[in-house]
Amino acid sequence: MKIKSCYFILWLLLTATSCFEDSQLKQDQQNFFVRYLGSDGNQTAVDFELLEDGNLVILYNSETENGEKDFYLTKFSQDGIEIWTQNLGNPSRAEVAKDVIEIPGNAGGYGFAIGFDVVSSPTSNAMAVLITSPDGNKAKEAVAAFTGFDDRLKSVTYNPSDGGLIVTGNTRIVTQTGSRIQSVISRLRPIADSNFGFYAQNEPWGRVDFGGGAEEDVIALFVNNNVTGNDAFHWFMTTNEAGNGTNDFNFYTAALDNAGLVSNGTILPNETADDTNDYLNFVLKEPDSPTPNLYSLIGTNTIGNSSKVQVIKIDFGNIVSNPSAPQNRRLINIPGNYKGIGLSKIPGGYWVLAEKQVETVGELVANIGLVKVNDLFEPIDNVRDLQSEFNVNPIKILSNANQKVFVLSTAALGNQQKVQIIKLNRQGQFSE
Amino acid sequence: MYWPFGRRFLIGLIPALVMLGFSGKTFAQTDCADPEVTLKIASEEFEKGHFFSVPEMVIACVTKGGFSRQQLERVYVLLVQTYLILEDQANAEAYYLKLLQVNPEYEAQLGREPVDLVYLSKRFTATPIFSWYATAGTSFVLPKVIVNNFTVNNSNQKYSLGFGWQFGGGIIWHQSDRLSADVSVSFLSQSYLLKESNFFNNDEIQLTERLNSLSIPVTFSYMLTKNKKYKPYVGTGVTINYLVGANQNISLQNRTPLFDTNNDQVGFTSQQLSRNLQVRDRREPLNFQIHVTAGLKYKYKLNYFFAEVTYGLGLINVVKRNTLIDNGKGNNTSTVPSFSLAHVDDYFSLNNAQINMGFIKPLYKPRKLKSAKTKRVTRELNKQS
Repeated sequence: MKIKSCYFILWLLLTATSCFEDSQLKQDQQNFFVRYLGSDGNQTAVDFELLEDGNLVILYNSETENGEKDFYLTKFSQDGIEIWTQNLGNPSRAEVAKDVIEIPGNAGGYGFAIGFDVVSSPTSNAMAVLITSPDGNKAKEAVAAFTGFDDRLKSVTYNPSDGGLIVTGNTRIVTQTGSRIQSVISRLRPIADSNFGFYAQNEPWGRVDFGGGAEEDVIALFVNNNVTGNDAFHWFMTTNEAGNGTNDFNFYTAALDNAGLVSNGTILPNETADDTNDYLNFVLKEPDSPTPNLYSLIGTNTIGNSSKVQVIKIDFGNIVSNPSAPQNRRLINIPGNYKGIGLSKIPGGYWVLAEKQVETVGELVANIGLVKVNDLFEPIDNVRDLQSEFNVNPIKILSNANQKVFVLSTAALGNQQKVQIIKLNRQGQFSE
Repeated sequence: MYWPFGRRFLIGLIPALVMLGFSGKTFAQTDCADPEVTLKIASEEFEKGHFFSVPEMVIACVTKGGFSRQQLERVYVLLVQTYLILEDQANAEAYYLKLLQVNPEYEAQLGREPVDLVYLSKRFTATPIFSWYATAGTSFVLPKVIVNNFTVNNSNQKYSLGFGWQFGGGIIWHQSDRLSADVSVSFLSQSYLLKESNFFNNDEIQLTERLNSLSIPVTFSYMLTKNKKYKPYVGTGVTINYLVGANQNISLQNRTPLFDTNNDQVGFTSQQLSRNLQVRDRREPLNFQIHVTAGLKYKYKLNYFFAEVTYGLGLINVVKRNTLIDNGKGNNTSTVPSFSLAHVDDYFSLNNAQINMGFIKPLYKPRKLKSAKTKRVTRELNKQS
């Protein structure tokens, strides 16, 4: 009987242990995962946002084997469960999505504004905006064309002052000596509409043109909620400076007035060496900052074949003093070649998303690099390289209220590309 | 002259000498050349009541050898009976033990053997305390998914059985005639298959994993019948598996639909991306199962052949949590397919079924019981009277 008792106790212990373990395992999905989105052909990640209801919305492009281009919007729970997916492409034309934001509707609730390009030919693009209902169904569409020659949309911003949208992008202008890229903005005013309560009307607005051979690549635009005069909007781009005839690219910021005209522009940082180029990639408006217009900019500093993550923090127009960085510019010191892709604010610092360049059998392969830095952008942990043998191009990083980290990427699986979303814990790891 | 023996001694000595004279004559007639003849003569002597001559006659021949097991059994039965008649309990018991060494399953029965031999037999047993066995068989394993760690929403996963095999050996401890416990060590090789379809619409993941383990099952068995040629039994127990190696072959089939001129799908073009990964570091080294078993033992001479079916229910998740998506330090592409092949293992336990056949060698141990089991004999005698 003793043996039977021992066996029963052992069985009871093992069963209880396994039940306890099962409940822990089920929680893991809420803590970390890797998910892929896509269908036949190739899909490339564009943008994702954390929504007011706590879910995620993901925008990605799709190109079939026959070269047909359209885009999809997917709503995802933070546990990685797909809620809905909408194909928003127009089958009669090629479209390439660029940006998605959540916007309030007149009837309550939130919809989405998606900025995209209508591709007529390799050099003939038109910028357009699509408005959807909260469940992602197409509601309205507006064109925000400039020259119509080579317009390429970059971002869409909600303007709370009038409930409209501001679209920013680049356009190609033809000059006597050729053509060059300029950054432009367009204002879309709302019109009451019973269908979705929002309608956008095109109103080309302003542009930045340094003249000469200067080219610009716009990245983002933010509304200055506190000021509406000459400092109504903050515009961010990369430029090779105002007509100085060099190829020295730098970060550039511009304040815009209510009419969308540049009232004040600043080259950041002010260095001119021809062989040192700084390409802006992402701008984070600091959340919950006592300074209303505090921005952190991240991009890549390139010297020859060497790429380093470059960051800079500004109280708009003024570089925030950072004595440890020459010229108030900081290169995040990570051994190897990394491009700065994105930033996400966490208490006491940031998660920095970088694109690692790995040499594999003579080829450069892009992978995800993650590093946690403090408020001075000093690394406080080793970089986390999430390696694949194929290209994984990181697009954007977000972190939620629980400091869980989300990274959106385009991942190659052999010869096909798919959208990848990963969730990591607050240590940036796939475990608890 | 001093004569140390009394009158009673002399009276007893006379018949003894008479008997010795007879036996001396008979003993002279056997030279142990033919064990069967020796046995026949000894039996005749026993029948005639010449009990003293029997041990001398046969013991010498047994020492010389040449007796078969069956003949030896008859010799020892004769000796035990003789010593019981001669009231030499010590020798009767000693030769009964020898009898059990020759035939561990010998048991005197009422009606066939004298009552005193039956009583004596109830004081002894030769049932084995331990047996050893060797076994081999096939194994079928099926993962039981605890958490589906899918990478693509709405894909269809289907696990299926893979073929496995095992071999090993162990020891059985017989607690009683019916109850026993055994522990064995086996090498267990098992595999399962996974097919994931509706993956990016038309793609498919195909995965085969083979797990090699050292398996240590501890089983408590109950024999359903006693003393028959066929002995069915059931059992239950706990298995501990120590993983020594795990290999995963995984492929991603990139399938693109093909259409004819009428836009009807006529098939697929397919490109395969496959990898062979060592995944032991991504599995828990120890796996625990509870199992139930049912089998049949077939008695052959003094040994057994057996066939049994065992079903094991996995109690724990076998997939390591901290190497689910990467190797803990980044996604090591030589072991982790989450980034290169879009596959993440589910959390699962392993349930398996085994069909085993084997051979049991009982280690019989003749011994005297602490308390004789004579109640039944007495009851039957009372019934007869």
